[in-house]
Amino acid sequence: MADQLISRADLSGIERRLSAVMGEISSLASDQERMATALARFHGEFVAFVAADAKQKQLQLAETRLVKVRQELEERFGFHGEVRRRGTGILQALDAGVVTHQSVQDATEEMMISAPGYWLAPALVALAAWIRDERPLAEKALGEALRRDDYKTSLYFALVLRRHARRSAALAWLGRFYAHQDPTALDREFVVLLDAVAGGIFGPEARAVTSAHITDWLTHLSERVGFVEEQERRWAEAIWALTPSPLPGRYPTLERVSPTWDKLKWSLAAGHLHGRVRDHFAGIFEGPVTHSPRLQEDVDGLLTRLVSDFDDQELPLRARERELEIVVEEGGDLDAARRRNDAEQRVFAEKHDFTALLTNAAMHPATAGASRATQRFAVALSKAWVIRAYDRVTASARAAYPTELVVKVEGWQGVIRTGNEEGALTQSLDTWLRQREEEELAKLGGLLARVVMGLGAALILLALVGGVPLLILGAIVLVGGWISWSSTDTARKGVRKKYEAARADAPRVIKAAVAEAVDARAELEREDARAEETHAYLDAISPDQYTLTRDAEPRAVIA
Amino acid sequence: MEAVRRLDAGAVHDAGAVEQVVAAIHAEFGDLTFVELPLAWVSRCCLGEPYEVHTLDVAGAIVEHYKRGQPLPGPAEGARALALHPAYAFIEVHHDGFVCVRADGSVTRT
Repeated sequence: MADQLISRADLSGIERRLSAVMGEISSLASDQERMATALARFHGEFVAFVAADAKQKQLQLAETRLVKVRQELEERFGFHGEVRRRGTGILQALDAGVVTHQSVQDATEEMMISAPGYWLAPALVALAAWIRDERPLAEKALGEALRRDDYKTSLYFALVLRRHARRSAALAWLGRFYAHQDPTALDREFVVLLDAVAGGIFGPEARAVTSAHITDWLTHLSERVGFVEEQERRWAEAIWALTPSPLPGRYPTLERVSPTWDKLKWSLAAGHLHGRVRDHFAGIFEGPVTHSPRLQEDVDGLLTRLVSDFDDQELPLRARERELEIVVEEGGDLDAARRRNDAEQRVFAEKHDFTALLTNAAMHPATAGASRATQRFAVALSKAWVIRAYDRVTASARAAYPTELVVKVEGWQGVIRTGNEEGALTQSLDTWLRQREEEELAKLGGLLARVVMGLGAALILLALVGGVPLLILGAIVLVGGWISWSSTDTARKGVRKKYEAARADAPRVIKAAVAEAVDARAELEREDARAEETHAYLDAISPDQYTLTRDAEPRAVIA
Repeated sequence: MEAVRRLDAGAVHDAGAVEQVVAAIHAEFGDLTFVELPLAWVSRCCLGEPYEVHTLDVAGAIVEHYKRGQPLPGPAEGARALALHPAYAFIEVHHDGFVCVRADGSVTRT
């Protein structure tokens, strides 16, 4: 008893203490949770602070460096900007005819002294000397300009002389400019010039000079292994892209019952390609060539850009200046600044492969910004590749024409080859349906029920001698057999009705499928016939017509 | 071209004529190694229904006729539709594609 009293007292005390401990543990857990939340928030704020601090430091660093880079640019190339401004001014003054020769001479000679190494300074001296008809000075200055930068000097004089209608001289400089070009990596200037030449801005003789250089490039490029195949592959790809989408709903029965439908659908679309190709190239070679007023502006813009762009010597520092400017604009965010800088550099440094330029101009003129004159020029130059590529596309399309069409109805399959199979296919399907009907009916049974009914009838007859029990038994067996038989009879009627409908429908399906197959074949042959016509059209293109003569005359269709 | 045309004209039943055709083809392709020769030639068959195309296998000098629906062996089946097309005189079957030869001798590779 005493033990019991002690135990009760101890337990309550223990329980109290246990409750207290549980309460403290619970309180600890809450505190821990609050601490974890606070720690996470603090961590987030700390990370944000570190990032902001890093950005701020990068911003300050970029601003400091930018000042230094600009100081260096001013010390080393400060006068180049002055040369550029004066160069633009001299051009405008020449256009307007408002400045005296002496002023131009003084301005240019001062630039020679102040901007050593810059090609534009002696080029302007040569220009001024040419205007004053001082040949020795002009030749000397020209030699110096060419020594400093042959490429830009050649382009500069080609553009300036064209501007002042000195066509033959401009042509000579144009030829020199072409000699600098790498046909696998053309500058954006070349693209504008090609459009200008094709558009007649440089006069008809420029086409001959340009096509001679280009023919030379192509001859050398063609000697490279795989070059010709690559051009044919590129033109084939561009021609395939003209394939129209298949028209829906033309052959609904075949679409429903033929597993060969997809192949036929594709062949029909490929067949319509021939007309599209003919129309595309007719659109290039027929109709007038209109000169875009933008073309003149683009050529003048080229000259302005040439005069105002940075010289090669300054480029590394100018690039660094631009990089730092972007960092400042992005508030010190190096990643964002790097992305913007990369994007700018990509656009600026874009090079063009000449043969890709030809394909794009002919097949995607809107994207390439090519005029109709440039398209004609491009196709005329690429004629051999275009024809071989087209023939290859035609052969590939023809290889895929299905020579037979499979027709499937339920589990039955037939083949249409000539279009004369309607009778045979209808008969085959009918026979197959009848066989299936017999099989299904056999599965339903009913024989046993009839046997049982027969047994019942026999028992009833035996009742004449066997008495009432046999009569009753016979009646039961007969009725049982009859119930079993009548339940399968409904199912049998259903089967017969189903196959009767199928047999009535079968000739319609076969007739429609065969008729559509014949129509599809006729359509294929009709569209395919246009392939020879298109081949002949392409073959009749004469490169000489579009590289040597003036534009704007519609070409004769086929000689 | 002439050699294969002779086949089309009905020389197929004469084994000696077939050998002459094969010899002519070998002479034409003389500078190619054996592995570079076409696997087969396929063209329209002139025997009439139910025959559709026939083949010449230079390795075995066999001419085989194929009925409508009867598949050609290996890669030659892919040339059937081209062989049936009136634009091509015959089709050379190579391991990497087909060469479609027109009546004027011009060729297109697929």
